[in-house]
Amino acid sequence: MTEQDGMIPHRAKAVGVQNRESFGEELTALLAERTQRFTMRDSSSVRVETAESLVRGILYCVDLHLRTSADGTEGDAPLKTLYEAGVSDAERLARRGKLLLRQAEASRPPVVNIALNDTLSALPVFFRRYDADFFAHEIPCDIDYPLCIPVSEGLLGAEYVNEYLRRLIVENAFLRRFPPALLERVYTLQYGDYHGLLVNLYAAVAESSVGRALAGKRPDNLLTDSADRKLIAHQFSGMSAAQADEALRDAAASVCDGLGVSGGREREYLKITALALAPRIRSAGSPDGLKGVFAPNDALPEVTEMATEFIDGLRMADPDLRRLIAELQDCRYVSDQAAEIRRSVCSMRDLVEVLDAVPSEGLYEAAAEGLSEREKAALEKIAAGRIESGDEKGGWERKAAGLPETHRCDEP
Amino acid sequence: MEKSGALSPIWQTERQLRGKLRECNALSARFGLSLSEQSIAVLSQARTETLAQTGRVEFGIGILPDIVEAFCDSPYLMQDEYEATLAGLMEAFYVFKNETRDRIADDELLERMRDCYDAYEGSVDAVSGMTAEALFAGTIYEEPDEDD
Repeated sequence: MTEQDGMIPHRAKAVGVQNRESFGEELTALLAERTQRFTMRDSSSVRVETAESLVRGILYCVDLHLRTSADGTEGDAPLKTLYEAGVSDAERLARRGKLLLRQAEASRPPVVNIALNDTLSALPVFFRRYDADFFAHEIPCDIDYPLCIPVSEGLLGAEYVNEYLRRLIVENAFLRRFPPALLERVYTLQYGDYHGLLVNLYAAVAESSVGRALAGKRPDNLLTDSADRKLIAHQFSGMSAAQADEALRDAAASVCDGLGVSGGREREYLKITALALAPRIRSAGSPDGLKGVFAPNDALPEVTEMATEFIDGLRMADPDLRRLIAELQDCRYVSDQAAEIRRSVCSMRDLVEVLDAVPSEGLYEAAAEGLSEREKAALEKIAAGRIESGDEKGGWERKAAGLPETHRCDEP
Repeated sequence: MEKSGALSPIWQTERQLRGKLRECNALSARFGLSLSEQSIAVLSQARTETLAQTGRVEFGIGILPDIVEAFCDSPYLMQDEYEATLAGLMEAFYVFKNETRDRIADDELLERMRDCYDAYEGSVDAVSGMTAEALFAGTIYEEPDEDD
């Protein structure tokens, strides 16, 4: 009996019950009694399929009670007692499920999808037909609408339906944070005629929002342009699997912060969705391939974007950067410092931190010699921003911006 | 069908069945019918095999004593074919239960089978060759839908 085939799962307490000497006898007696009740004593026999289903129902209830009861000593109780307690547990779960269904119906996303509507219409049938007394493990209705993160098939009966509804509510709550027109645009770009397709509505939107965060943009808009995709492709091309996961986790957190998502379940759901993107981003191969992962903004004139585009390199780990700065501060010659910078620094943000921390005369000029025109322009832009906001830190900003140096009033 | 897992003890009620069939001899003896120890053993074994063949599970002593009670006063039931007739009727009973998807109670099914058995002058083949629809012709029984 395995979790996969829907019989009693391999959990310590359940296995303990199964292993006791009287288990077969108790189960047979209980099955005979339940079968008599099921046939209302009209029939001395039932089909094997019916008997097997009755056995599954009994074992599921026993397992459900052992899993959910707070009192760990109950494993010693007679099988019939455990079964009856399990039936009560299943009925309680079904009552909870009715409330979840009401919540799911009230929080429908602001777009129409036939599969979602059909599933929400079919779920009341589950609660009408659910028979905790005999077949608590069954799901007597059609649930067609696919979730972004499917519910484990190890869950059965009302447990499965309740978990399905919880996830659906999380997905719908996220979708309701976006205007319907934007959602429709994303679905049309990703799926075409999404109304009639058996597609998950959350996935495309959640993934697109993560794409925006990866590109350093706010998630509200959902669409990515070619520069965004190029940046994402570039970032991921140099990342290890662990770094990619870290970047996706950060992006998911950034989306949640940007949208004001505070619920732990919602944040966790988006994080799992984001982490599932890693292999798709890697297999996309090129920025163009990412159009299938993140909804593209096809309205932007892509050629004009290229001229102003700058893609930063991979940042160093914090301890490595600190170590490099310390080494540069100890180094006596500017030429050696510049050579070390060229050798170790791959990111504009790291270079800025180094220049801020190592104020050697002539270091900026020496370091800038190794930069391309595009990199110089990016550095100049950062410097100009700092000067404009009065936030100069290293004295290199004026050189980068091509402005004459000024002396601070406290300097001699 | 294999006897395995938690269901195997269900098929192990032969001893109880044999005792009940011996008791039934007291009733059937009034109509000149009796089962020998060998016939009881054969029928008990046949019950196990028929249940397995028809894909059914039975609890307790099962339907055989009820078949004896329902048919023993039939004028067409003879001692020399008593054992074979009971075995044939038992098999037909389980097949009809499957065909009717357990919608017909045991008592009602036995009553219809007995009517047909007498109508065909004691032909077990005629009864077992009927469809459930024909067996219940003229009653409120309806063929179950495929989807049920």
